[in-house]
Amino acid sequence: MERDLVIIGGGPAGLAAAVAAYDAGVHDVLVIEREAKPGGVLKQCIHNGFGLTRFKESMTGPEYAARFVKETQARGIEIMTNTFVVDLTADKTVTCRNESGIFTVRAKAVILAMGCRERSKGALNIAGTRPAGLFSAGTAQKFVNVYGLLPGKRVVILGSGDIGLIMARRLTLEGAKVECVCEIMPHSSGLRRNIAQCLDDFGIPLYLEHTVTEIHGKERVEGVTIMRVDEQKQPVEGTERYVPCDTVLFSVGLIPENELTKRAGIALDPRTKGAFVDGSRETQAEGIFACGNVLHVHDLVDFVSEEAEIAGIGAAEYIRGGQRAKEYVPAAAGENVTYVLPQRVDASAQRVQKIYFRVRSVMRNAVIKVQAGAYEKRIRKPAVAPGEMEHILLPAGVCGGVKEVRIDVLAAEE
Amino acid sequence: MEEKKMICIECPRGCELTVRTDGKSVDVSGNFCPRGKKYAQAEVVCPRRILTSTVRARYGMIPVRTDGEIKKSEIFRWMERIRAMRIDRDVKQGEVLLTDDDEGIRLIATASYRNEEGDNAAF
Ligand code: SF4
Repeated sequence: MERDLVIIGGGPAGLAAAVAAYDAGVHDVLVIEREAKPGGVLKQCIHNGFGLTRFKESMTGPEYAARFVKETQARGIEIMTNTFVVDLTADKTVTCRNESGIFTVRAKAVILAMGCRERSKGALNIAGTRPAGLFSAGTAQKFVNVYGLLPGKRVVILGSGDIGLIMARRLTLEGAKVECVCEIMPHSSGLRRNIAQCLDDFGIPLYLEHTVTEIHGKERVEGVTIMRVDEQKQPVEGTERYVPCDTVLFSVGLIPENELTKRAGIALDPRTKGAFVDGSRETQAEGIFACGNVLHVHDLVDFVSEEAEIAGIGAAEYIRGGQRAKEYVPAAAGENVTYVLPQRVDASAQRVQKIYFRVRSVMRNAVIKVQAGAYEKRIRKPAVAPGEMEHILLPAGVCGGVKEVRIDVLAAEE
Repeated sequence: MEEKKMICIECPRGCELTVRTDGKSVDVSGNFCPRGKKYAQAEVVCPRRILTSTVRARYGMIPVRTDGEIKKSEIFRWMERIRAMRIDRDVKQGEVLLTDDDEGIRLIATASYRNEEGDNAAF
C-alpha cells in the first residue's frame, strides 16, 4: 500500500495532526491506531479541565477527543483501528499487523504520535514484598473509569503527578479512603489547580519530601512505611511511619514511547526522551515528524493539539514540496532550564517561532531571558514550576547569522 | 478581617489568591484575570464544582458530568445517586441522564454508548 501521509497513533496528537495536514492540502492521510477506538488516553480521562487554553471551555477527556474524531470524520480521514505498527524504517516504510495479517505501507511522510507510557520505576527501589494491590495511577484510572472496578478501599499514592492527583479525587468519590500522597521532591510535579481541587477539597494530605520505603503484606498490601527524605533524597532515620492500606498507586511520571523511533534509527534527546526536532517538528530523518507526548511529555492536551498541528502542516509542506528550512540555529537550555523544544529553529524563518521549555525548579518572581545574538528579551513571571510547561515567542528575522538561541530563567532582581 | 490563601482552579495558570473577608465584603488579590476574583468570592460564600464520574451500563461505563457547578457540600449526595443508576440502552453524547430537582442541574453523558457486548470502551 502507498499513502501520502501515515500517522502512527490515533490519540489527541495523531488526530489533530491528521486534520491539520488535510487542511494544508494533503488528503491521502492514514491514521493507525492500536486500540479499538481513537482518542488515546483521553477516553479514560473523564474529568474536566481539557480545552481551557485552546477552546476557552472546560471539557472532559472524552468530549475533547470526540471533537477531534468528528473533525477527522468530516474530512473523511481514514482511521485504521486495532492495528499495531511493528516496524518503521528511515525510508518511511511502516509495517503493520492486524486481524488481516501483516502488511506494509510506504508513505511520503510519517508523523510519530505514539504518546507515552507511565514510568514504573517507583515500584522498583522499595523494600518488602510485591503483593497484590500495586497499580500505576493510569492503570487504576482505566479500572475505575472504563471497567467500573475499584482497585481498593484504603489507598496510598506515591508521586504527585497529575494522574495520581486526579485518581486521589476519583477514588475518594467512589468511596475509597485515600490516606495520603507522598512526593519525594520538595514540590509537586502536578498542576497547582489539581492539588487544590483533588486533594485540598477532600482533605487528603500531601507529604512533600516523603517517600514509601517499604511495602508490607503477603498476598495483598497491608500497609506501607513512609519516611521523610533529606536533600539527597535519602530517607531520614527516625521518621518512619506505618500507614495501613490495601492499595498503593504509583504516579511517578510519564515517558515517551519511542520504540519505533529507535527502530528507525532516529536520534533521541536524552533530556526530553523524544526525537530531536526542528521548528516544523521534523526529526533528523527526512520526512518523519513527531508531535505530542512521544516527543516530550506535555501537561496539557491543548498544547499537544497545537504541536500536532505544527507537525501536520510541516508534513503537508514536505509532501507538497514546499519551501524548506536549509539553515538551523540550535536552541539551548540555559540556567534553570531542563530542556527546550524544538532543539533547533529555522534560521531564516519569516514567521514567529514558538519555543517550549521546562524549568528545573520552582521559582517565585522569575525572569525569562531569551537571547539570540543582538536580540534580547526579558519576561517577568510571578511563578514558574517544573510541572508547568512554559513557552516564548521568537520574532521573525532575529535568528539570521546567530550561533544559538538561548533561554535562561533567572531570579528577578529587587 | 480574615485572610485566606487559595489556588484558583479556573484555569491551568493556577493563580495563588489572597482573600480578605470581614463578613460583608470580599477582597481578592493575586488573580491574573477577573475569573479569579469571581472564583474566590464564590469560594467564601458557597464553593461549587463541576462533578465528573461514570454511570454503570449493562456492558460498560458511561462517563458523565454535571452541566453546571453543584455545591461542594452536595458532591457525595450526587455520587450516591450516580452510583445507584443502571443504564440498559444506547446513549448519545450530551444526553441528559439525571436532573436535580432543587437547582435544575443535570447529569449528562460525555461520551456515546452502544448497549452491545464488546463495544464498551468510551465512545
Ligand atoms: S485568576 Fe484567571 S488566570 Fe489566574 S488561575 Fe484563575 S482563571 Fe486562571
